[in-house]
Amino acid sequence: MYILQYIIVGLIALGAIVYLLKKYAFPAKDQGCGDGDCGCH
Amino acid sequence: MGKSINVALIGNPNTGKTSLFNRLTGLNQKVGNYPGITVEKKEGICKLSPRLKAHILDLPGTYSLNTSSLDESVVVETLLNRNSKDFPDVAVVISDVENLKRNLLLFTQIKDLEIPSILVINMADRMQRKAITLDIDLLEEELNTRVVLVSARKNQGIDQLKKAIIEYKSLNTKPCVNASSIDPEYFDNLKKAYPKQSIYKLWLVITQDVNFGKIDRNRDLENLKQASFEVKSENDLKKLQHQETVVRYQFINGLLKKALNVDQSQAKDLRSRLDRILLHKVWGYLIFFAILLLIFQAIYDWSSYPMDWIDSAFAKASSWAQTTLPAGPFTDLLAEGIIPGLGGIVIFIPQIAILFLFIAILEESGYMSRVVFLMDHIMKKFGLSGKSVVPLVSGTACAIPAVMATRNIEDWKERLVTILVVPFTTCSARLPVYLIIIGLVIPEGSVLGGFLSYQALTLMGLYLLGFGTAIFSAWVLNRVLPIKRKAFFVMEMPAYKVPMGKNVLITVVEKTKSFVLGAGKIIMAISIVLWLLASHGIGEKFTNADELVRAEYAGQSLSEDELNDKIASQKLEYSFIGYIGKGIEPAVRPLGYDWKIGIAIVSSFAAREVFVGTLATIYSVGSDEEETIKNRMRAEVNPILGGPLFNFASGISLLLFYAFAMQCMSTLAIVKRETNSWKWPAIQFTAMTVIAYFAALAAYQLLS
Amino acid sequence: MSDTIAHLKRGERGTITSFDEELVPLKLLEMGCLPGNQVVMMESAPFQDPIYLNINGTHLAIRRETAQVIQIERHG
Repeated sequence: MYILQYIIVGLIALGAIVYLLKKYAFPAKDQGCGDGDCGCH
Repeated sequence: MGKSINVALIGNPNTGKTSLFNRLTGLNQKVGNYPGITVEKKEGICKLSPRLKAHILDLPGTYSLNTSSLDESVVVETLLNRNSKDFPDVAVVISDVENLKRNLLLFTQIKDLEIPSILVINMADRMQRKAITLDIDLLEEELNTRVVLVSARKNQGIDQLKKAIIEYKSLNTKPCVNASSIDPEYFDNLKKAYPKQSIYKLWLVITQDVNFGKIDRNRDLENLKQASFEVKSENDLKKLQHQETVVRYQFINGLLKKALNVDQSQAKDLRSRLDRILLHKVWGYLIFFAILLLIFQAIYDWSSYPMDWIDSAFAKASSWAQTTLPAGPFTDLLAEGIIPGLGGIVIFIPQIAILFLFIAILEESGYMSRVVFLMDHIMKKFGLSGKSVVPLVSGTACAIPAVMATRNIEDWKERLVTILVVPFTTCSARLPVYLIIIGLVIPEGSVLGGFLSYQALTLMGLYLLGFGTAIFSAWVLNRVLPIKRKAFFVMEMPAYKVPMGKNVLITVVEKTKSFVLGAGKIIMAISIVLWLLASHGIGEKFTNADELVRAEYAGQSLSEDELNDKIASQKLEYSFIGYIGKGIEPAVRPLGYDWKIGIAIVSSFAAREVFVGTLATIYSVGSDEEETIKNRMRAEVNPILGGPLFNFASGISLLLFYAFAMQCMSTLAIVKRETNSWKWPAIQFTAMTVIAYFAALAAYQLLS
Repeated sequence: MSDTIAHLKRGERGTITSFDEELVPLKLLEMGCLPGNQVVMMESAPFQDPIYLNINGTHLAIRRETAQVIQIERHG
């Protein structure tokens, strides 16, 4: 159980970091801010 | 699966285009952007018959196909590019029965492109009241088109419109005005050089250069410039465009003389009566000020009930997770990272919804144009345009749409100055920070017999500070920037309308959704990373915190709870985030902050609203008692001076820092895109952040 | 010196006679500001700037600078 929790946390953290890196460190070119998320915030 | 056709909605601004779009598609719509540019693209699906669906594209409002802005060039783009997947099978041109003359200008241009077109005459329900009669048969005959009378507001004529769209193949595509009569020789040569192309399409491609500059064209048209025929100077082309407009109006005026009859004696209307009051030299300004006051009071007062409720609900959820779920790192992440982070987003939904509600009502009712009118003379003095008021007001929601809203400012210098100063206005991302700090450091109590609370007044003061700084910077920029001003200004004054509930609702839902989804993802991700950094560390002081603290306080009779608090705070201090925070501390201490606030400020440079979520995460790590964010902040003690960390001096200093600092990556990106250079966002970022630091420094040093 | 739109007082009307094409944006023409069309002065902001007009049935606002270069023939 404890191990499983560690694995889930690891995956979530990885997902969060990848998301932030994609958003700020390597933003896709001309993503045009589609799909309702204008990167407003 | 039935067949699907493309329908483009085109029309002048203020013709009820959006209302018709909402009528046709309901909530079955998607708002996005055109690829590569930040022009809003609204699409929706409308079921015409059991077997035929329409893919409806709501094009930006435009007065003509002579483009002078990015929004307008999207319209021309869509209509010229036959290979695009958005190319319409049928164009539905919307006009307003009271402004038919002007609306028909655009219609005659679209007709010249030989696209099947339907003319919709909207607001037909007003005809009787305004004593307007129309000869529809004559209009259909002279314009070679189908005419449909509609009232989007009253939901009349929509079925007839759908039927007309279904029968689009029977529409006559012959032009109704002979535009080439303005220079027959030139157009003849054009026709000879490109026998396969529609002559008007060629004309548009040639003249776009005059007004707009580069737009992507079809490749076959690109060759035109190299072609061996007489090339006209910009000035000549501009003269021809003027003449084209004259020719079109001659046709329209002649037609409407026969087809349209308005009984002028009935025309004494609401407009002039309302305008006399709302544009009055004294009352006009007082009313505008009163409306602003109402908005701020509403944002502060109405939203406090749902906000308190949300705040405590998340605190309860967090402590429920901690006590009920099996212990382990995931439970900790949930209770200390995810739930408080989520709470930091959800709590601001009421305020954002209220703000957008007011903005939508002001726009829909036609009052916004009156504000522009009232403010133009003053704004001009500061190097802005009256039209800068709309960006400055919508900047109270978000600087990004505000920067985009500068596009209809004709003068480049006025537009650039507006873009540069807009981020000073108080956007909704600052609101979370303001609200929580004001709640902590500004005393309760009120003036004017309990109507205006000190806290609401402070909030209003911050909004005024934002506007004031924006306008003052504009004045400075106007003197410093070496750009010539032309000072063109043309604005339509739309009729007053009672805002349509459905339109307002859709705007509020759309904008709130985009805040929750857009900001939410970032806040969530940052909360998770912060939790990770705050709950892990290296070195003996972190790993052995338990024993070390117990040994240190062995002589003193501390309760178990007090000991646990000491252990938690030592762990936080020596966690990864503790080290980062201590690194920043020297820079933020003169402003009255500790290292935890320092962390929150640094993470706010991604987006401001991260501030509250960050503090919520940092503070809840290690404490088992889940409390509301506000109570937790109130209990923080200044590590050096003692006393509450969030006191009047440090609170004001924080408020000023957030009022001035440029903490929004997305805004910088959009400014780069709109000004086409990194120079402007770089200047903006540096100047604003320097101002913020010194303002906060001065405030803390003077007040403490 | 003949009259321009800027000379009109509230409620007064005239017919546009001519203007310098260089100084008037195309957008204003598209809104109906063309020689031969009627113009009515609706309201003006303090300092007579901007000015709120009804030109050819279209309600619009322009700045004083622009109004000063549009020649009109006054009615009644």
